[in-house]
Amino acid sequence: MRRPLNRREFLRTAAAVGGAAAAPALLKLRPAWAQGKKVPVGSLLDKTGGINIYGLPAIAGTEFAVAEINAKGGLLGKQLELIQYDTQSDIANFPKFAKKLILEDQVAVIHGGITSASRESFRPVIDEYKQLYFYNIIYEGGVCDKYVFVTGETPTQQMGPIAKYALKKYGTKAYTVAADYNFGHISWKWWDIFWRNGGGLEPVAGKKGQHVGKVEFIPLDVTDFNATINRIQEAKPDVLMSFLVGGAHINFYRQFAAAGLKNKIPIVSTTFGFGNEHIVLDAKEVEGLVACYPYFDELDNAQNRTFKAGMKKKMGDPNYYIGDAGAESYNGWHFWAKGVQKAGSFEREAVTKALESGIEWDSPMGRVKMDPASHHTVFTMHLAAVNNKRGWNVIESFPNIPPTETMQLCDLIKNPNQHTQFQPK
Amino acid sequence: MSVDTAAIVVLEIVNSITILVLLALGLALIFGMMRIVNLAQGEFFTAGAFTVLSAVRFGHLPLWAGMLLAPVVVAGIGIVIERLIIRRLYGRPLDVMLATWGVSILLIGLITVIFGAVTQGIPFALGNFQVGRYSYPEYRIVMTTVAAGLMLGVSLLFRYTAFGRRARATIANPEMASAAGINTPRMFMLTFGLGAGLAGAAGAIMAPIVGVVPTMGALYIARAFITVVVGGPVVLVGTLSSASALGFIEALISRFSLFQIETAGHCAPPPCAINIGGSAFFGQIALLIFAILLLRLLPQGISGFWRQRR
Repeated sequence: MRRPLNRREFLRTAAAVGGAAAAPALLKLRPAWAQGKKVPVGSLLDKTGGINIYGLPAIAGTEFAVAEINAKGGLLGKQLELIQYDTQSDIANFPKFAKKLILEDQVAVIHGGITSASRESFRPVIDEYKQLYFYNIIYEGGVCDKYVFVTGETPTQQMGPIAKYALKKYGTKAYTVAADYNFGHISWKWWDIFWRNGGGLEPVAGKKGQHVGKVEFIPLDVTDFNATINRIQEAKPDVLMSFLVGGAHINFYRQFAAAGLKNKIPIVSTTFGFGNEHIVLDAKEVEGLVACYPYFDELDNAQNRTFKAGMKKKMGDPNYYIGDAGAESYNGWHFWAKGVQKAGSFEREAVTKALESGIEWDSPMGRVKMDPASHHTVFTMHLAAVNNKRGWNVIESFPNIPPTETMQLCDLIKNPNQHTQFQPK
Repeated sequence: MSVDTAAIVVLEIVNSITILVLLALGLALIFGMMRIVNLAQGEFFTAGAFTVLSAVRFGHLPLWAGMLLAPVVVAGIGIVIERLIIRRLYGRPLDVMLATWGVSILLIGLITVIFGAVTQGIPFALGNFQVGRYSYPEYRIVMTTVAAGLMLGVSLLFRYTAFGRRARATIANPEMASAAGINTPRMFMLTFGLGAGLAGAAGAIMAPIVGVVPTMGALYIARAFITVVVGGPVVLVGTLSSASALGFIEALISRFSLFQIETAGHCAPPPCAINIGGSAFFGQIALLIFAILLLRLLPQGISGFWRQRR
């Protein structure tokens, strides 16, 4: 017969079992990077699926940046350990893998997210766990979140120059095709504002611009654009704005050219090119299309020459075109690294404070600056047209354009508890 | 409606029907006739597109040669898969589904390993023609012609050749066919190969207008199944009639706005209204709703309904 435990024995056993169970939990409170030689850092990008036209260059830029930081001795004497998960162009993967990066891998920072739908799917996770996060891609603007830093461009930076150029060169009658999710819808609202105001956020006194006119929202998996193209022909616009996104939408440009419209209706876009669509398509299909980005491989400066040589070597392809998505991911990692170095710490509060001191540096896209209040980036923007050599010709450059639409609403130094996304009314 | 708009709407409808026929024809044999739920059908389509891509890019063949090669290559792949996997699972529909799903993942993986996960394009050089105010790509007409040709070819093959009679006999009653001296395993294999080859041909023909990427099959497989299921038991006539009905609805709703709903919010110019209909989004929805309605009203599919009435 088993002897029942007396009180003292029970307490001793309970304490031992409880202590053993609690010990790893206590250890876990201190993140792994506080002790180890390596610091885990996380990246969530779409390596496969329809969004991978942006994901693949962004992954290349990410891997290159982390390798570069490590080759120079790492950060604060520690090597970075890059943990990447393929989010497979599936929104459901983002919150799942973000939690995994935070709780299991205990990363010091998360970079990534491509579509705005994916970003908004896991931003609540970022906020819940107070995780430092970098979003390194062009988007519709307005994210105002203490834990988030944005190194991609926003509507003012792209649509301002594009609207001015298109209104002057092509005319006032526009037609818009947009991806049917939050990015396309919000972008179109901004586009209407910039179009009406002649390329500015506010109306010019004494001048009343036209509304931007018809828009068609197109789901991401649509591959046949026959009806859309015929409707565009009916509307006879002076210019077509494209907010199309992803692998399936690339077909639009090809089918548009096949209908013989390439030389009849000019296209401008805030999305064409950052997934290197100009490489997939033929010059005779898209030559002359106008876009506006802070980075093109064609930019000539010392940092870019080194960056291009390094990326070409990494990819093993002398003709590799990096594009905006690759360069922005690269910049995101370096912004974070500069924040860590300045802070002398990997802790979120310290790094955020350092980044809010206004970090500026010479990147492959030229001088870039983190705006302290809005956590967004100030760039020199370049308006450029697709040429016939699978590249771009810069038409005009606009130095130091701030992300005004977000800056005028967002002040995270004054309101540090903000975790929102502003939208045009 | 002006004459040219009417003409362009007709062309859009024909185009929608063409795409559905191309997608569904191969599946009509494999799923419609052989009752194999082949979840790898989308990847046969993908394989066709990649055959053209390889032929043009690496073999430096002209585009049409690549397109002729595609169905042959994909039929070969289909026959190998039938021999290795499907053959062992006849009469076990759930297992076949699982196995072909595995094949689908395997093929996506193989194609990704060989070609990379990037989206690639095959440019083509045909021109366009004018319909009043509209210009319309000639290639769409080529697609319709090819789809009609394939449809006619398959129907003649099954109706008038010895192979067709044996294949139909095999599928109708394998034991009896076997007793009559027909090599039934061979017939199953060839029919499956033909279905795969037709999917390959569809992939090849559509490759120049769509982005070629290893996961492209997933974008098309659902429509292929819907078309075949709505078509019902008389495989070819059923597929053609369901493609026509569904394509007609899809093209019409994609084009015309049915009604408007007033909304608050941002719009240009105000007042705000959402058009119901008149975009690709509503075209897709209409196709699905119409398919559901048809199957509710005609559970045997369109051709099943005709057969009952006779």
